[in-house]
Amino acid sequence: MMDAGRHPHITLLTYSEVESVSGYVGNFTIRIRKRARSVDEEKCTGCGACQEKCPTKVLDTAYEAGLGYRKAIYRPFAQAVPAVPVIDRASCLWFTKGRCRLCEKVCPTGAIDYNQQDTILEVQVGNIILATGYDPFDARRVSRLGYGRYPNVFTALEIERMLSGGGPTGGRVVLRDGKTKPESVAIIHCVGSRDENYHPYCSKVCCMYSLKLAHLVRHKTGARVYQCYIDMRTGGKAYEEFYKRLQAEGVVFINGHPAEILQEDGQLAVYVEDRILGQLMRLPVDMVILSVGLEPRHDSREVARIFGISTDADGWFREKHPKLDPVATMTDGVFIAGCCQGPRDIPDSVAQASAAAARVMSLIGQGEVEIQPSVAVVDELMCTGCGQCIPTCPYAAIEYLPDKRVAHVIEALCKGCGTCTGTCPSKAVTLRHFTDRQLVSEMMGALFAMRGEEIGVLP
Amino acid sequence: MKDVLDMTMPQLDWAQKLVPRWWEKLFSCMQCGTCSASCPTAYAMDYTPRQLWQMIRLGLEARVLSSRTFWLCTVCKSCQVRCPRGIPITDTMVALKEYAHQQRAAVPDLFVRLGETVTRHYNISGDDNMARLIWSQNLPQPPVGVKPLRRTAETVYFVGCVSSFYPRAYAIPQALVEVLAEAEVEFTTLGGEEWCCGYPLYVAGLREQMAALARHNVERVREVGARRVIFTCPSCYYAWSHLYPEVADVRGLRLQHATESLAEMLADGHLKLGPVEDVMTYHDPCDLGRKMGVFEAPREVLARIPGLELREMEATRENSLCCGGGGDVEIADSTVTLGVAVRRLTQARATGAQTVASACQQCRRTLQEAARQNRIRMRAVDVVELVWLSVQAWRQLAEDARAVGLHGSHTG
Repeated sequence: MMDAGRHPHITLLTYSEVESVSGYVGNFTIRIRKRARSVDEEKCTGCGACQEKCPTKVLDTAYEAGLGYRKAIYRPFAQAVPAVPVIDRASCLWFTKGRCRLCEKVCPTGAIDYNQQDTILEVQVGNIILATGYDPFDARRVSRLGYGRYPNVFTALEIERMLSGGGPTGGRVVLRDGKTKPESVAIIHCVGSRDENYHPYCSKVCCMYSLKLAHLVRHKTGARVYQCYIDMRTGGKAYEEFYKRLQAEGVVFINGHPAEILQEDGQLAVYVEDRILGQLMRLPVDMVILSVGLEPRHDSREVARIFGISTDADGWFREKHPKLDPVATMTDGVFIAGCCQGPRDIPDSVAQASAAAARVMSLIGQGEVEIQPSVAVVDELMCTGCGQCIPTCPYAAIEYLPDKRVAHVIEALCKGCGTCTGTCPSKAVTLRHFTDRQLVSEMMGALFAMRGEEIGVLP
Repeated sequence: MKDVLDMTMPQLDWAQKLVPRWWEKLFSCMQCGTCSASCPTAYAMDYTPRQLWQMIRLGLEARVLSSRTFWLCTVCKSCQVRCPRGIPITDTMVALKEYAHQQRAAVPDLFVRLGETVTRHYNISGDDNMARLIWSQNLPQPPVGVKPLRRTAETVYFVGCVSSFYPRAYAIPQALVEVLAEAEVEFTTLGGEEWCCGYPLYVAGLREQMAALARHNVERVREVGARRVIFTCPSCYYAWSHLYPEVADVRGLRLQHATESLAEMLADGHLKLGPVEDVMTYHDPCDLGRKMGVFEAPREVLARIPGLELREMEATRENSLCCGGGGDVEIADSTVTLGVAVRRLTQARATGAQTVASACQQCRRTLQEAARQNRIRMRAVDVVELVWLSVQAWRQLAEDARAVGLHGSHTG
């Protein structure tokens, strides 16, 4: 991250949002709203004095998963790049109550700017790589597992934060009271994944991270750890070996998905069937960890719309071809990498990101793009300018030329699907190499051949 | 001793015969065991539900049909709503019973007899059906609609067999008719013309015998010109709502559970309630909650009764545990019913409440019986009974106030 931040050819725009994209491969215009962070990036040295002195503590539901606090002026996390903080205007005393301004006083470089406004940038780019990631599944939705109702039911991300030395508990794994070490822990797999009621797909990463959590929780607390799983999916280099190591360490593997978790006699009781034995079980434990699955970002469909790409039924970005072209999209010049396309782990995400970068590099290296010859063309004499073709185009390849009052096909975007040719009421659009006459001749030929087969004239 | 299963000639298409409409779904089972661990009676089954699906997939017909697993299904649907593969599990259990009847497989005697009783007597107890209103005999003054019946009425109260013939549940219809009269609802019961709704036959695997009952009941309700049917029995309510449309025309009829009607009346201010001092917990009946989606109405009603403190159990609403009284399990093995009921009572006791309120005569009977047999100090009541108590309390208050008022005017 540091390298990216320092690189002379990389401009990092954090706390910014893409509002619209127009153009086509090699020629995109992107409108970006750079949100007002109330801190001048040029002046700020990232010393952190403002954060230290800010009197307003806010529960950090993002990075600390709701276990820790941040200030009203803050960096998302210690290693964030750039190191410039942002003022959360919804909780800052100056913005809410009109007093304080402490950060302004302590800032040695005068970087605090309460009057900063959002700015709009327009940038020209040739290619776009989307790597917008995922959202963790909200475990509250599975009411039978008690998250949000029972304090000692945690999500995997909460435990992840606890295990971090710089995290809210300083690396200790404790119950919600903040001090008691658990003596027994159950880790529940497939929460929100592989479930028609939530997400039918497998989130792919949870088996491995559950194993990791089991290892670390045992290491930190010495607790008895149960893994309640449906199928252990440890495909990947050295993954099965890690599973074997955990088995050898003495983690208890229970093959079955729990039906419910109830608080009974001051402890959590996990009800599960061990399907190997066909045995119903009640596991009393101090702590439950829910291995929540991955889901598309809440706004993935909106982002897809802005960039002119599509999503699948679940909301993941759709690749051009699942096997043969997994990093490209149906829109030339827009590539995808990582979990925005579907659940995957770090090695896979890194590999895909490298592939996307390589694809972009090759386009830049060539300096030109080849397009298919079979594109639609508008006969400007026949076009009435009714505009019916424009919304039907799935690639947004048709524009309206107001001075000529006709539709115009952007050849770089057209994929030759033929939707517009079928739509045009005045038959002003034709598809090159697939004109009506050519198609009819083709059909005649095919039909003649079939008839020939029937009467046995032709082989 | 473990034998070796010979798979030379596997009957892999048996599931297609058993459940032609959803065998593909059944085949998609991933054997996670969520159904077994959700099942209130799985502990008493010879095969857990999960094992049964694998046996069905492998076509082990004889082994499946000799199992008692599906006869112990309470049809609570806890498994079905949780199944990660969306398999109609509970429906498969019912289909197994139907199949067992058709194949004349080992159907427990009492299940056969249940069908005979209902088709002969039009009720589940085998009593003379003309005695349907026997529960109203010790009402001081049965309201119109009970005695005499109304010839035409906007609303029909469909009492249900259990409340009609099992003395332990008489208090429920007694309370409801009093409350309806108090709220000046023009209703009628159907007297001896009310037949069993057919739900007990459906869950026993005798769905075919339900159609005639359904048509009769709907015709009688149409005859009095009613547009609304009120039920105190969630199973009748479920049958009318989800099973009747397949065999009878219930269009245009507004079907309501008594708690829904009461919630409406209370919101309108039709009823005045006095205090009932008690700490209680509410048990969601499966047929009303999980299967009909009515979770709020009974809670709303309880919340309106002054003095009543409601404490929720750990397993509540869609996660509520069955009382054990569903699915005719009582006639398959009553010890299993009581076993489940004791587990539910333990959960109820953990809230610190002394009383468990339900909105189902069968839950009330089952829980009360389990409490009695196991000497658990817990009382089971129906929400409708509580409302009647509360109405009486208000009447008493009003009377006292009037007495004071009269007394005051004398001295003045």
